Amino acid sequence: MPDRNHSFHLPLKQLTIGKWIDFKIPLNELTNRAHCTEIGFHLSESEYKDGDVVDFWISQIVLTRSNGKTSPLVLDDASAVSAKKWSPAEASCTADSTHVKSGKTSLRLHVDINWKTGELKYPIGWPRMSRSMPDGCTVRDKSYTEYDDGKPPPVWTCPLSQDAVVSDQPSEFSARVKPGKYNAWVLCGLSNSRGSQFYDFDIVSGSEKQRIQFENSFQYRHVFLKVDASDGKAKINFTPHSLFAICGVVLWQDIDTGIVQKEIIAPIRQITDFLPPDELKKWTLDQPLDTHPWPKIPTKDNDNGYLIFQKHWAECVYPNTIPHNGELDPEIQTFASLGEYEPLTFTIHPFRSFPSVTVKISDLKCGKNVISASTIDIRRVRYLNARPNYTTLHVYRVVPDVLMPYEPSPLVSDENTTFWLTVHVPDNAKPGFYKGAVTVSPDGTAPATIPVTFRVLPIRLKEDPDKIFGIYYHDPLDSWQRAVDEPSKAYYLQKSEWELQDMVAHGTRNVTTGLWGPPEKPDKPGVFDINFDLMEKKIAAWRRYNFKPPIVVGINAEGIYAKRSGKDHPGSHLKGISKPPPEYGQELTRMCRFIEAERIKRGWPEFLYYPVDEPSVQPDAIAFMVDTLKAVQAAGVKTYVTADPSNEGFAPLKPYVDVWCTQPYLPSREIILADKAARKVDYWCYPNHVNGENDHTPVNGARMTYGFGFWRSGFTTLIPWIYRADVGNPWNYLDGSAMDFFNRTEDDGRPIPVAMWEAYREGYDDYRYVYTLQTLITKAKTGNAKIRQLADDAEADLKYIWNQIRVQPKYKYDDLWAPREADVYRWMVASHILKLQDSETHRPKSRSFFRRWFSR
Amino acid sequence: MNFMSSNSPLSIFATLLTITLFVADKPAFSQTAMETLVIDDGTELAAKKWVVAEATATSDSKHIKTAKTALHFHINVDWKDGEKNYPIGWPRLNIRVPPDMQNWSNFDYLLFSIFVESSRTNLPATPLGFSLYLSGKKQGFNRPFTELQIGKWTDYKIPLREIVNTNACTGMQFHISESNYRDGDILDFWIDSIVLTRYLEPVITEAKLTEQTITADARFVEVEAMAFGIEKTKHAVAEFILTLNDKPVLTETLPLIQGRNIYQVPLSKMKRIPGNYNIKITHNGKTTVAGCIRMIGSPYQEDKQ
Repeated sequence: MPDRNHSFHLPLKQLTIGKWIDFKIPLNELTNRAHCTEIGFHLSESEYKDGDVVDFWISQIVLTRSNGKTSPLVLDDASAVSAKKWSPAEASCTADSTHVKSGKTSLRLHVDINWKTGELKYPIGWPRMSRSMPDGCTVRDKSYTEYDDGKPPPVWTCPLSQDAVVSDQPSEFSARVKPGKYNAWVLCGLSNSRGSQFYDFDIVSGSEKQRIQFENSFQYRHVFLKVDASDGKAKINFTPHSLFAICGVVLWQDIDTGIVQKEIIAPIRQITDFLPPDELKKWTLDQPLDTHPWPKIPTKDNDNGYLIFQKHWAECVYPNTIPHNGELDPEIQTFASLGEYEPLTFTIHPFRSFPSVTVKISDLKCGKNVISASTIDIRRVRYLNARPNYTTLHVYRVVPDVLMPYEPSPLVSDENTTFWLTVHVPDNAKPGFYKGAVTVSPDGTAPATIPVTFRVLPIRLKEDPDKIFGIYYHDPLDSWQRAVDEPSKAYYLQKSEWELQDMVAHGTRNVTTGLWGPPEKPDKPGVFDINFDLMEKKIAAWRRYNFKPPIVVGINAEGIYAKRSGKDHPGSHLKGISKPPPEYGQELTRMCRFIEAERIKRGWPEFLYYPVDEPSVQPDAIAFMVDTLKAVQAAGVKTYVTADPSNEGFAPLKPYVDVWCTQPYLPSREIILADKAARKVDYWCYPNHVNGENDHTPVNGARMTYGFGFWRSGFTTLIPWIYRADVGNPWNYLDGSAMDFFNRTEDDGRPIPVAMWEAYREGYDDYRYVYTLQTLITKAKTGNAKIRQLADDAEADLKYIWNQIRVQPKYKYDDLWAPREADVYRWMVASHILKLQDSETHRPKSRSFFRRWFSR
Repeated sequence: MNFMSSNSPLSIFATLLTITLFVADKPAFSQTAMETLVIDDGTELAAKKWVVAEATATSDSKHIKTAKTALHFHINVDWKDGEKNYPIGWPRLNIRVPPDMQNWSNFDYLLFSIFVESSRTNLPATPLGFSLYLSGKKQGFNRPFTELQIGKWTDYKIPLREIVNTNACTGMQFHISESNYRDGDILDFWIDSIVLTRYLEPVITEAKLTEQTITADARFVEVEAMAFGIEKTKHAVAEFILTLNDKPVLTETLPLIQGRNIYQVPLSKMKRIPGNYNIKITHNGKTTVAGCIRMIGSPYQEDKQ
């Protein structure tokens, strides 16, 4: 407290050797708690013997409020960064993973009791550590200006957002006002860190009720309501299903709407949803510009106030993209196989603003056969402000990105709006040419109709059993494990199911996971505190969705390193690493054996052990990696290393790597095939350049990477970073140390795809077309001369396509096939599949004169 | 260190601003009026204007293309030397462009050639990188020179119109990342004649098809063409011609636009039958071949599966 007379002391008498003791100090018993300046721990050497060694591990230090269950403010997260903020005397303070309760490390207060050293007058002294609170310990969320690591904060804040009332109890907001009708803006959310929590509550005013849901923190929701305060009391009720989190309420009467919008709501929303004005000055808009002129606008479009155009779904349509003449007045045509998903897109460009536009698709009909409109997913492409690359600062562009669930929405004058429809062909659909139409109806003007031709092919695509489409994954089951209330647990469990279903629908058959645990305790060598039951739950889901092994499992090698070397955890890419003592490798081997024994006992699929992510080629890092990989292999298990073996700096690792995972398609196909033929080794690829680590625009590059490019490479598995990762506010890419990665989440936990995720699926489908044809060719080679000729023709065209691929380590933007060209090659493959299938079944082709005549 | 000061001998920079009749191999270049601005002519004087780190820069005549000497960038890869925090570093050459020379927005290309020698037998995937420093904080243009090969000249022709903010190019850099090499490797790059060029009259410098194969239901064929020397007020047009078996089947006239652009040639006026079509562009009596495109049957024609 500012006044020393108002400090608070608590002897921690409950401490026992070898046990965690939880302390929960009621703050309402403290005076002057509104301004806490410092906290500290100390011991009195007089209570110990000279020569004693004492170690205390202190977990996260947090403040909680509102019924003890809500919104903790983390005073110290026990990280290495935090450890440095403590000032120790006659002791040391480090971040350490030997004993942890939450997070990866604890604060370790280490004391060598020494009755002869210390302060001159007090050799038997008071070893201690203390740290100051950054701005006094007022109970509020962190302001964005208080993050001092040189990177943007996880969320942009304003004073209104920096404090929230959070509770699991129904509450009422009540304000005395001049009697009358009011409008209310309720700012919901949290600008501090809170993981594994689902907020779910109703906001009620009179008969009006709105449900608010969001997970974790660092995000806001804006609720607008009518409030009847005829009796002079404006009341708003908050009814939590789990917790509610309210930052503030603004009330105003209709007559003040203009000024409130302009002077209160707009400036605050600019901060919470975009950037504070002083930060905005540092950022430059770098918007891609079309240089070609506008095509001549048809008179009817001019009269209606809008036009419709169509670019291929893999092309980015920015708010300011100018169509070409050939893209106007579109007809949507596409084809798909049984059970396949296929995207259809179109764009509306309004010449003036419209309050709303509705989009409807009819049933798609082929004679008596119908693909119901209700099974066609309609989404609107949402623009987001994105950095050119995920860590770049102070430059942004407005990019088409998230495919939001459709709802009627306004059209902004001269800003393109793209709609994204996905047809899921029923498994039992009758092949044929299905016809229908999309109707686009902006309010107050004539609607537009876009004809649709959708051809269903009599093809069942096959998956190549030797290839795996995977993805890195932050599993909601980890949050399920940590969540403290039932609504949150139910939310994360459901989210996990929805995400797995979404992955399966996109071709994903493998995700990364981890078995993280602290190093072994001194008295229990070979025993590690690892949550295998959580892994059991993950494996159960893995089996339920027919995922394909092996499973990449991250392990805490760095924790063992920190323990055994007495040093901090290494930085990214093993920065600052040094040669560990031999005990490091021995304990790592024991950890791998411990995990492997449990894997075998439980009958789990094969694991690939993943001790370090993206090591550098620095000599110290390579030496450490050699020790690490040897230690993992000594346990009789396989190693997985994210490094590019075509970089010669990694050559010393080669004998110890079972699976290389590289970001580009390097080494070349020829080198990979030769290496695989010579020894047991595998090559996986994590093409982050077309997944999360970009501005979400290399959509066409993503399709090429996952489809024809994958086919042309020698790699067996694609496993990009990452299905979804939030870095701060998930709806603002201009905050956080990096952009948020890839797919987003609906408020209720359903996944929201980004365009590149759909490109992943289209690549997966491209590959399935190729593989299906390859299997048919192989079979047809044993057929009669006519069938063999068909196989030769198909093979010649496959070779033609193979030769059209301009092989690149990274298919991103440059020198790719034009988006529609990939469709042409897919069709070329499909047409050969049809011919070979036809010959295989010896069915007469449906070309007879009578059949056609009768079908008219 | 300034790239050029007003009393520096490198005011030759200005005197070398010339209008030439540039004759090149490609027909589109022949007899086309061009303006060039020399940034580095390979002389000793020019070499001294580069700021070097973990490498050396000299003028050298061992490998030359257009002048008597070229800029020689020599590197001894050393994983133990260099900056304290980054012993495996980035040997590099930097040059600052004086303020009055920074506006490159009216130039069409940046041209130079590079020759490589090395103690190695092959080069890594990214042997050399190139950067331009452009206006705006942290704005830049980066290009890895993956095409380089030991013992060969590689010509670079960087289209400046496609780079944003070339109205203030403040500097230029060549660099390697030592992590791409082995400790002890020796590298020598000869960089010949770094110049900016612009065309003074309409010309199509390059044309290519964006697709190699289309289906017969395609509404258009796309040609990507680079056109320069077109003043905003002038109207230049070109004929896009499709031939099948050497017979013209379609001629469309389209207006030319400055820089690299996509031209959609509508196919509605021709009968679209499968085959291999040649496409060329004629302008001002000069012909530029765009390429050959294969047309296959449409998935949407019921009888022609």
